[in-house]
Amino acid sequence: MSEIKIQNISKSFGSACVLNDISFEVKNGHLLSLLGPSGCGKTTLLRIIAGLEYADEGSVFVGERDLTPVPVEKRNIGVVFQNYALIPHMTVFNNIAYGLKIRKVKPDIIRKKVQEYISLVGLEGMTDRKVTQLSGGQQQRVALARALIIEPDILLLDEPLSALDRKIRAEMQYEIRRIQQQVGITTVFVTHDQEEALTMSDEILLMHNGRIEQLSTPKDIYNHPVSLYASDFLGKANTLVGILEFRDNGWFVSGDGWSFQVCPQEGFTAGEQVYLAIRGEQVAISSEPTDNSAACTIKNIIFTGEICRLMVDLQGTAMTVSCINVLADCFQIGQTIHIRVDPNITHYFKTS
Amino acid sequence: MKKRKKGARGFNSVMIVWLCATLFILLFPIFAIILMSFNTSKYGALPFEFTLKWYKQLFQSADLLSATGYSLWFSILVSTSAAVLGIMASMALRRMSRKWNKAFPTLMNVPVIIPWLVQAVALLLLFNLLGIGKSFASLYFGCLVAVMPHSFLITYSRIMTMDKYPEEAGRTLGATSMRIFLDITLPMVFPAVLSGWLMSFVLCFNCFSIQYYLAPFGTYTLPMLIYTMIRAGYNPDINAIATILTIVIAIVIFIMNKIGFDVGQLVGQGHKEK
Ligand SMILES: Nc1ncnc2c1ncn2[C@@H]1O[C@H](COP(=O)(O)OP(=O)(O)OP(=O)(O)O)[C@@H](O)[C@H]1O
Ligand SMILES: [Mg+2]
Repeated sequence: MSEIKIQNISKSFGSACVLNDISFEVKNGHLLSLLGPSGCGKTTLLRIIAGLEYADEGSVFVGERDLTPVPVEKRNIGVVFQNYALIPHMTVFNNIAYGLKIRKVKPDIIRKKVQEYISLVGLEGMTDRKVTQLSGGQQQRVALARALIIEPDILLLDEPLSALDRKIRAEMQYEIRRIQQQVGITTVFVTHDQEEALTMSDEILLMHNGRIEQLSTPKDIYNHPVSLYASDFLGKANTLVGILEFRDNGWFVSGDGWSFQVCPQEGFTAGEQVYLAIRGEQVAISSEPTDNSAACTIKNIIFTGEICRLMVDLQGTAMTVSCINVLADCFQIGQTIHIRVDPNITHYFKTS
Repeated sequence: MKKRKKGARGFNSVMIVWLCATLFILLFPIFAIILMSFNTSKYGALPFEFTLKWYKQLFQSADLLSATGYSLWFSILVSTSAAVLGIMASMALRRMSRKWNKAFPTLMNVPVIIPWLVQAVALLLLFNLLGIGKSFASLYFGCLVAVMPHSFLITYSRIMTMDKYPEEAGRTLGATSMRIFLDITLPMVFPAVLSGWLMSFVLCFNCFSIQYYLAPFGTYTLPMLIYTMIRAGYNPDINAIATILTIVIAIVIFIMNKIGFDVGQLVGQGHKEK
């Protein structure tokens, strides 16, 4: 159990630069999510931490130990692979026990420990099953137990839930988090699902084309994205192009027929063209015009379960706003509504 | 491992007739030989009269049995060598660059394409040049050259398509490369090695032309002996040995198929199917 320190990691495959000067730290016992779209280098970074791939530059520290020159088999790192990577001809017991057998632990201690970890991950009664006869969720638990039983210094998980369906996925998110906190192990968790990252992590590292876009707590990264990219990746924001203005003692971003109040942000001057990012659920909807509201027409109403999405037309710009289900009944397609945004949680970004 | 789907559509009548004709042409000679080995008439004349005298004769003449024994252990030796070399070559090649990954298997395919007769003559020339001529060593290496590509290609294609993550998982758990090979890689490729071995065994047993050219004088493998005997005059005890071999090999293939199938299922990535 120790903290992870990544310093200036760079990696290229041929001429393609996959990781570009990545540095970050994970505090002892924390879970950090590596979040990013497909192909942004998450797996590569994880494999470098695990030692399965070598970085061109930079170093990996776990606790005080510099792992950069240490080969995989001596790193003592628990890894759960994207496709579980269970050993197909071994039973659940043998898969979980494998790391201990390698360490030449006595058979009776192995048996006791395997039992302990089997109940930790909730696989009681499956000890002697072949791993190929397990469901995806069960295989995932075996992989987790197998990684944890060697009492690794840190735990690395590569999209462990991507193959599972929604329901088991939510269950496993909770389970992994519970086990991680119970064991108190420093963890790096790779995912491309923003919701998963937001629910599970202490911290989120958002990656973009092999660079760090933002590193912050889930709440902070959601409420205060540093870039348009971050704001778009975490909860799909509407992007409007407008001009930043200062009038009536306040800052506004205005476009063709609309104007929303915003907070002053450093580094911007009045008259500048900016991107305004508005999250659908942060919009206040009313049927009467209010201060600083903008009128728009409902083009379509999409029912998605707990919330409804209103596809609206804001003077020629398409936007999506959300409201909870019961409120949606008040609206019809074609109706004009007035929307207003909260300046404190609305951000704008440079266009260049 | 090929598996026919349960819900696969049946054959239509034309296909059934075609299939029967094909199977008849393929299997009739074998059945004819089996029947003839139990027939009293020396020349396969009808009516069929049951007898075991050819079997009695077979077990009294030492030649056929000893040649069979020789062929058996020799083929086991060669196919085992081919299997070991096949695994070693596949393992090494897997780590090499993509260029070699493509070039080497193509190179290995050459002995498959070249007729055995040509190979045999070429090998004899080579061995004469090396000064070992017709000897056990040249017989062994000659047959090995002929069967090795089969064993290699089967093992190699399995290793290349195999999921590499279990091995990486083994490494993260602290296993050395030797342990990973023994605990993870070998069991995973085992079905392929087994079928490669079987293939080599059958090929080596049958590669008459190579044996004929390279076997030392006085050594007779079964195909060589049968050839010699037929030239001297046909005797139905050859049918008897053919029958025994056919049955033994059929049983072996049946067992292998069963094992191969089960092992294949165990090793295959069939998460979803139960
Ligand atoms: N062994 C390799 N050789 C060449 N290129 C590679 C190799 N491994 C990865 N890449 C490239 O590096 C980039 C990053 O790959 P990586 O697997 O890290 O992405 P990822 O973020 O994990 O994506 P995903 O979410 O799809 O798993 C990709 O463009 C990929 O094509
Ligand atoms: Mg990946």
